[in-house]
Amino acid sequence: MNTMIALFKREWLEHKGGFGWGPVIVSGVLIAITLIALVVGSVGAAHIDLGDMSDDDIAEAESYGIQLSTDGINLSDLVDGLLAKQSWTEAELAQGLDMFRHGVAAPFYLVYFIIAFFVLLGALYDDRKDRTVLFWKSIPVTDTETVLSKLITTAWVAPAATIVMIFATQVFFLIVVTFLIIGSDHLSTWQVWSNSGLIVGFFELIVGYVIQGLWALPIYGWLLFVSSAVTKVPFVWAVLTPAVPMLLERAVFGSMVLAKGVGNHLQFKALPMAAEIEGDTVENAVELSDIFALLATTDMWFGVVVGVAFMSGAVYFRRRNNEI
Amino acid sequence: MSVLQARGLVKNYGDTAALDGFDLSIEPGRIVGLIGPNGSGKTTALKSILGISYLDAGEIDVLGINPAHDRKALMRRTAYIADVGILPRWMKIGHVLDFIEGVNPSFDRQTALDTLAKTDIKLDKKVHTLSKGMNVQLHLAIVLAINAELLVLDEPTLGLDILYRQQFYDAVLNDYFEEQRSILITTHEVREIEHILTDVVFIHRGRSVLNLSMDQLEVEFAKVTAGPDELEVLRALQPLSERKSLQGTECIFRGADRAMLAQHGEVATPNLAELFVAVVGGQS
Repeated sequence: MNTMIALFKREWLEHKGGFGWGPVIVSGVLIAITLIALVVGSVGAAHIDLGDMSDDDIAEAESYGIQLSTDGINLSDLVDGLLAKQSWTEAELAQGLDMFRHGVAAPFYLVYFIIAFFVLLGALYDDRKDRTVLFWKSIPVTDTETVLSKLITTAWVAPAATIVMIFATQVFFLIVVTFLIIGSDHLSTWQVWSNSGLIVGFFELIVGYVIQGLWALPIYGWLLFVSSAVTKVPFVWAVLTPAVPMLLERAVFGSMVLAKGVGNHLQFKALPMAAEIEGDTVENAVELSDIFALLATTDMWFGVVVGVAFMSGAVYFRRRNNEI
Repeated sequence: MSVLQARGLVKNYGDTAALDGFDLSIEPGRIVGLIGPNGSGKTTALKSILGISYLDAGEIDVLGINPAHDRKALMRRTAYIADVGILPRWMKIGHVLDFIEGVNPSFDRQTALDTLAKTDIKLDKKVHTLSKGMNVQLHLAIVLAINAELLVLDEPTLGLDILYRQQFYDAVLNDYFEEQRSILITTHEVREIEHILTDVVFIHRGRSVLNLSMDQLEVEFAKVTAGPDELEVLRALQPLSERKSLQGTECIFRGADRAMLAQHGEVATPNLAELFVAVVGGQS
């Protein structure tokens, strides 16, 4: 156990620049963009460009008082939305604020994934390149422990920083909103905070990332496998190799099972997101029950099996491949 | 019990055999020099001894452990310094110590701190800020703090200036070496380690071509420096090699009677570099 803890610390030390500072920077950028937009917007100088969203999309977003755009979180719209409506039911308010929280979280999810992608891709490659692999192999740690420590740190330890920063950012924005609705006669601070879903959302994030680690295991396992096996350009191998069987499948069978499977596991299915309703089914996890429902799917466990297979391959090559 | 027993080690990289039936054995309390040119299989031999490289054939036993099967157990009792700085450059020195303390129960932090206190190395600095010499000092401080029974050194002083090289071997001898501990060392600078070795192994094209103690070496090999008149007589005795020098012609003999040789010229024990050329030169 001591060994694994030391390995986690070592991984964290190496990657705190990405996993630790990454979400801090996302938060900073998000807050800066939002506050600038708010200040500029309040003096009437800014024109909010809704881009190529359809009228229906805009209408839907605006009915919740937010704008789903790349310009950060549009607080003035949120506040206008909150203030415009004369009577809020608890459910409506909660749903609107859920979407607001998920909107805050989304850029963190993406940045975390990008960092995780490159960390895993370099995890068993970079040390072979710079020969420090000789040092890592001269200490009493098995190759299995090494590979596992890299997976576990990335999938289940590093998200802690992201979760904390998502929560902190959500709290910050809600405080700003609170100030902006002061004086409203039909919406109280208490109503907003008690329907914000902040605490539940925090636990959803924790559970979400625990399960997301399993959901993405075939992706993470593949990246570690490539990192361990190849002797050059791991990025090219990781990205282009899957394309070959995908194209073959399409040419021979006319199907796209593999491509769809990969695409499926590339999505952050276990992370709480804005609702995306197609017919009667909710595509994205919105609350805990959606997240847990993933555990009952064949897709999940098939992916785990594939992930474990790639991990075993990563250990196999880690034993044999040393310097490059 | 032997510290190390290796028999018939074979390792191929494609068509090239890095090791081709290599043998080696090390007894406790010995300092063994593994001497050979670049590409002779030295580093591959060391890596298979440490369980870092996998063999294609052969039997190997280090401290009762098969390195390929249980590198973790082996590395608790073995320490290793390589020819280049292999300590992680992004890590702070204090964190390196924390890490090793966490994974290696036979590491004694205080010993490492005591050794480092004698150097200019600061714990809050990162490894990449260290000079080559300090990097080796740090690695040595770590290694000396591990209660290892076998120390493996692969060209440890390569690229160091002479002051550090001397200090390095002094520290290894004074602070590490004792009766039950053994050292396996490779280097190009044969002259530097010659006086500290108890045994020597020549490796050439993946095979051990000579394996004996320094005491045996003195008995078995002799170098005669003779003038032109004696040369014909000496040649008749079939020297391993002969070489012109300022003093005359140097002939190296194996298994010849020193007293008899002394009648034909000045007899001395060849140094390892001379011996290597004599032994390996005759084979190729």
